[in-house]
Amino acid sequence: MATETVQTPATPELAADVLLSVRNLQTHFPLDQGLVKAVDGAGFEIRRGKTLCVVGESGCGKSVTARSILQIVDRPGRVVGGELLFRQTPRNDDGRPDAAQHGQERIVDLAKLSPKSAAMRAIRGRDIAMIFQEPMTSLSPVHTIGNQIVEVIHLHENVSKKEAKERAIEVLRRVGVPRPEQRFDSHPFQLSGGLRQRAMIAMALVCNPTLLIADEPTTALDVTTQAQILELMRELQSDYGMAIMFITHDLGVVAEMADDVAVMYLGTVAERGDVESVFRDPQHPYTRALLHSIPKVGAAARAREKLDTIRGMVPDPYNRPGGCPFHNRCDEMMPGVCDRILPPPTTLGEHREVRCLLHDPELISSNGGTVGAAETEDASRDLATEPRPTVVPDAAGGSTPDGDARSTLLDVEDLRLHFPIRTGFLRRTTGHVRAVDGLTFAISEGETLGLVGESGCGKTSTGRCIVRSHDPTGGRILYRENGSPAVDLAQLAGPELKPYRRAVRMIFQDPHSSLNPRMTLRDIIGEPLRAHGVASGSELEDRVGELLRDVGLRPEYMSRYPHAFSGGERQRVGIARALSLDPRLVVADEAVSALDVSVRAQILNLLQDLQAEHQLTYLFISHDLSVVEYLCDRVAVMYVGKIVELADTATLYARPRHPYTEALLSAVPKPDPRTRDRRERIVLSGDVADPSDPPSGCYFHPRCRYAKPVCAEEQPQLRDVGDGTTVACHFAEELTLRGVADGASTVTTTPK
Amino acid sequence: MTHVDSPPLTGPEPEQPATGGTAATGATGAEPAVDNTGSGGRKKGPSVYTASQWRLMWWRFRKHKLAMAGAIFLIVIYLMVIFAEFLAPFHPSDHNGAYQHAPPQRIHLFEETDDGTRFNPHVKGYAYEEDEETWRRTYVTDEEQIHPVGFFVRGHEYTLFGLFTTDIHLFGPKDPDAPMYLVGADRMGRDILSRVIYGTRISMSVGLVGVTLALVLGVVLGGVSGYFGGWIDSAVQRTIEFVRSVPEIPLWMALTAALPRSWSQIQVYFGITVILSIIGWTTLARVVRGRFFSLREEDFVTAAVLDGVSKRRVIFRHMMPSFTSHIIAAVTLAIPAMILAETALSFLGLGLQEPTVSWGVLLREAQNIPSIAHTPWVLVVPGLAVITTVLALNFVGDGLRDAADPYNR
Amino acid sequence: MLTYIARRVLMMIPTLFLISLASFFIIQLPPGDFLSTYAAGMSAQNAEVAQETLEALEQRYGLDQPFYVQYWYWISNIVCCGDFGQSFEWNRPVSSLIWDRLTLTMLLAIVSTLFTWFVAFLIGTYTAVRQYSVGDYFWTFVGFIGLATPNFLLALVLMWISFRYFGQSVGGLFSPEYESAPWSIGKAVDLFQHMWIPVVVIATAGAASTIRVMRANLLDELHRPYTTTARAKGMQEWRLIAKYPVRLALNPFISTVGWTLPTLVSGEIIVSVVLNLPTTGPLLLRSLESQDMYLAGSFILMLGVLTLIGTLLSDILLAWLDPRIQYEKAGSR
Repeated sequence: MATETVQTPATPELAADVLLSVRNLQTHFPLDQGLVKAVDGAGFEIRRGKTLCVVGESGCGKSVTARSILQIVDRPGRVVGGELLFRQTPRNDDGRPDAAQHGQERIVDLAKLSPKSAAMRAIRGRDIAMIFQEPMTSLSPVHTIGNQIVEVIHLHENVSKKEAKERAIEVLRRVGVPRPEQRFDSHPFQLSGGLRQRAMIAMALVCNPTLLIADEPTTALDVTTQAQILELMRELQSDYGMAIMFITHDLGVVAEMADDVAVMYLGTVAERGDVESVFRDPQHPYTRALLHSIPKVGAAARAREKLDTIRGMVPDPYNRPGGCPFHNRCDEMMPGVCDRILPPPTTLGEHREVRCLLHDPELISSNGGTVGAAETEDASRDLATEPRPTVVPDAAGGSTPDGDARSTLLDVEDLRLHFPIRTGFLRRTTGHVRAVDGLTFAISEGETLGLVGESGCGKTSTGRCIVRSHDPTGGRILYRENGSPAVDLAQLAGPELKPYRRAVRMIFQDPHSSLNPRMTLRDIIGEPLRAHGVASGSELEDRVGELLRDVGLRPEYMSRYPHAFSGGERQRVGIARALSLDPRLVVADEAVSALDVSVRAQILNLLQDLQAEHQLTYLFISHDLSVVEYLCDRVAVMYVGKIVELADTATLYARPRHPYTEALLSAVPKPDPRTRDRRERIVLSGDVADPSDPPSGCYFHPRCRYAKPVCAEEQPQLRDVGDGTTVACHFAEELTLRGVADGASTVTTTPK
Repeated sequence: MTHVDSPPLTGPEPEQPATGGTAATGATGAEPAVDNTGSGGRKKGPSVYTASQWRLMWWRFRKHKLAMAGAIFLIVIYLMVIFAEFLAPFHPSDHNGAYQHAPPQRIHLFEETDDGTRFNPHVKGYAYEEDEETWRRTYVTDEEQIHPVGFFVRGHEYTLFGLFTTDIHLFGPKDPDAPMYLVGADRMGRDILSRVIYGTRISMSVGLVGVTLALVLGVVLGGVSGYFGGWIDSAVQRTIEFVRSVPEIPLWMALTAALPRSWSQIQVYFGITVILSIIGWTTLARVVRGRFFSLREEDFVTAAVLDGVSKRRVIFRHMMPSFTSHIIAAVTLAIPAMILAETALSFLGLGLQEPTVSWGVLLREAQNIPSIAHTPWVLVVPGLAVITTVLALNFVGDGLRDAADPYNR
Repeated sequence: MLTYIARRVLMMIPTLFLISLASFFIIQLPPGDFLSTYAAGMSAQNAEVAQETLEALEQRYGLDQPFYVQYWYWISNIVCCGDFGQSFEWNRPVSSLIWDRLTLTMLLAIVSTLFTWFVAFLIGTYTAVRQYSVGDYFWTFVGFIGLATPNFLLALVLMWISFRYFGQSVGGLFSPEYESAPWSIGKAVDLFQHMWIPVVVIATAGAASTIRVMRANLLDELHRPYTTTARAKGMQEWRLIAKYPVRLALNPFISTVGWTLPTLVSGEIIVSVVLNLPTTGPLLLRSLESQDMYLAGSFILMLGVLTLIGTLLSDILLAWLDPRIQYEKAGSR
């Protein structure tokens, strides 16, 4: 396709190594309720062949910024101001990059192009390509993968059908899609999530873009798949020499991927710079707060430090605070300054820029003393060494991991949950999905047991069996309270269960769907009290008020409906409901997964406080290994309905005994850019086995890099290997596997 | 990992001064946050925090202008149903051979007399010529005949609600025997306006009664289907699919034709409503069952079960409020189908018959096209009544459906 | 695909059975049985009905037997010999009366379906792409009116207008000279010249609801991420809309035929009564009025069966268009 490029009258200046310079970008959405300034003065640079990670909480304008670059902001949004200077590689008549004209790039201001213009369209998909979060919905479900890839080639280059198909297959092969010739004719629904994202990447790369924009490309994927995709993107970047703009909310991913970082807050870039210095020496209070609020995998000390949190939440777009957008959540806010003056960008060094009045040279000179003091004090708060308040570890209920004296609260023996698969005209049962397939573990009083694994491994089903919202197919759930005889919860039904519904409670993942929108907080939290006849009338109200206070909400809120609250607050309500009956055991199913980083830290702290206060026992189900390490005393790793390893947290993270655990740990992105080049990553191939048709022998053997013939024949049983560790691997004793606690320094020996 | 971006309808973190407004989804998704409740930009006070579902629905419904207009129109129509005798100037079967097919009259507010103009609302009389061959009459206004009209005039006697007898009508000619045909007369010289007003009673109540029956059937069968699941559900589902796959008009026709000829009009009336609801229940049953199934999977229902709440209370306290609003919307949207069906059946002569007056019966009068060409009001007036009413019901139903779930995102 | 079709056809059998049962139930509904009515009709004409004839008929339809036996006689006669019974009013076998009319009814229904699709597709797409434009409001309003206007009323209005302003009657499907002529090219052309008014009338109600379906679906699809993906590829806006959202909105749109077809057939019945078309409607109405129940029952049976086949065809079309359906339903797990 022939393209004419609209040249801006005076060719703007662009440093030689900069591919795209975003300057004072403004993207606004005029809505009925008012003007939403989704992007409001953002500015950053993307260097050639480098990766810029844009990070921030949801609602900060990351995606809109990315879409603004391509001018594909959804209606009624529009780029209304700023510059998007892009260095466009010259192409020959066929649309390929033209080697002959190397070095004669044109500089185009994308913000000046009309969204529907031919010049803009020529850049999309060719010079700048984009991939999205959910590959399932971002690919058309009724067109084949091949069709969607070939389309890009035909749009931008003048090639024959045959050649286009060959190139598409070639790219599919390059991004690691097995049997690309066949996949070419597949529909997206026939591929797994990881393969779909690979196909999406192939589609983006097929015209050799100089910039790839990736909008949360791994957020919807499992941690092992995420590791695969991140690895692939790193490889491709060096092959294709393209720059990547990588949008994410996960600081671990940032540390893994970024050369440069831009931290966004409310439509502006709060701070930007190279990844190393931003992580080592964050200058903006928001960056610092973000970094402090994440639990880190393999943190040296297992002291239960409280996480730092950021007050409040991201304000809604109609009510942006004046002055510095962060001032109302900032611990270092200077009254009368930060709430009045919009901080200008301050350059701190090469590629380093911060928008904070604490760094404003004029303010420092005029108001020197105080500002300077605040700054130096902050600079000293180094990440690794900073002491933070700790939750007393040996308070009531004690959380010392080796508290063998503690009595067992719950004994799960050979728990099974099978769902029949019915097929055919007569709906006959032709097989079973073994969601939970012979699970055995115990939870001691007062401890927190983590349950981790990839999606589809049966974590949630296990939790639901224990709270008995599912009826287990087999096995026993023995519940003991205060030395009284054990009761098998799995055998109880109907009214017999009722007393145990008081003792075993649940916190749900989605704070939106787990609260009835048509009931007030009083009714929601009071319902269990009423159902068990614990309290009624004003007594019930007093109790609800107390519970609200316990979880950090005001008692006056009890006549409000859930819609008056944000996600984090709703999760607090859910916790209050779980606590209302003074339970012994609380099953928290991905209780913080749906929350933003800063809110997540608040809830994690709350869970810890409550545990100490009420002597609670937690079964904490999560896919997030860093959160599990932070919160749990012991961890059970599940794979396809079975436990493969169960150990004390510290032991498990430092010295995993099962190859699957090792792979999971290795896949977790570490929020420390210094270690990334030294770590050897284990990238699991393939997908989680199908629980309706698991492989023979050890379910993990097709993906295991240590697998030997016996693994395919014999199913390993869980056995004790000392250290309080039980593991289901034939070679648990022989393998020396790598953990995370000691970082990358350990040299590992790999058998085979 | 899915990131639920915490959108409160309004409402701050506890530590934060009140902000109000809506969610902060602006930049994450493809679309910036659009108002969740319809109350966002308008209501910022704390009242939105404590607003119950019905209030939120009302706020949202109120923004739907067509639906509001439709609702007001429907209120007027149902008042007509209740006060038909009072509102109609004449009895629907009052006929007058002298005014067959008389055209609509104009109301004149002022009378020109010898002493000047004076305020005296009136209609003018008719004069006609009859074509020798076709017997068709051509009416002209007789400027000389003046029939004063007014409010609260005396006319034929009627008993309102079976309670008290009166002969006061909202409006009409001051002389009860004077011709007043504001929208024309039919082939027997009956006042079409009065007949349409009386017809409203039958047509609108057929809709209501039919929908009530359908609702009972639909809620019971849909609820049973959704509650028990399994083979009962399959059986009900197959029945619904079957009923929906059969063209309804032939079925209705056959069933109404089978109503015994000896039945009185009131029996036929109920027979027809039963027949209409035999098919109408399927829509409602699907709504009930669908909501039941999706609600059963909701976390908050699981939570209620885990709270130790009894099964009955789970259904009535936790689930019912979530689908009553949907049922109300579905019911409103089901009424027009009933009205149209009754109209069609009566039009075909299979439903209600003279002397009962329904819109369908009135339209049956309009079957003869050559005569319609000369007396279009016989077709237009009842036709408009049907169309506007059904339109209003559709608007209101749409508005209710949009407002039924004020919490969706 | 073949397994899917086979499954789908198998699932039709119980429905077919139910329809035949319902039709037979309708035949049985009026008081008395067919024979007594027949005899009454005969004696009214002062004709001597031979006792043997009556007995022969009684034997043939098993009239002295219980309901299910009668049903068995009736349905087996239909299935094996195509014998639908006797119309007492016309004194002819039902099968000689219904086929011509059913064919025309189905022809009308199919043409109306295609017309509905065509109109609804164009207008639905237009109103969704140009959401909140004047055209959108206009068509949405027209759609609402179409939804609120009974078919027969529209037919009456059209007839009135054409009579009033063009001075001609628009009833019927054929000009008088072709009325009873055998089929020829001329007759077919004549048919299509007459058909457009009933088609427009029948299609209006269906189109009104289908436009709303199309518009709503397309609005949904227009905001789907894959539309953004396509935009990010550099596609032209109109090409992109045609290839992705419109293509996807088409699927639910086609599945609506499953429920518009019964509506269209229903509409056809009433409209043909008003327009006096030589299709099922007038004869069905008349047979119902005169309680010619075998004729009426056969019509209802055949209308149901044909509608079912139409729905089947639309399902197959849908499965062919949307690979996910075969995948899910054909049980490839």
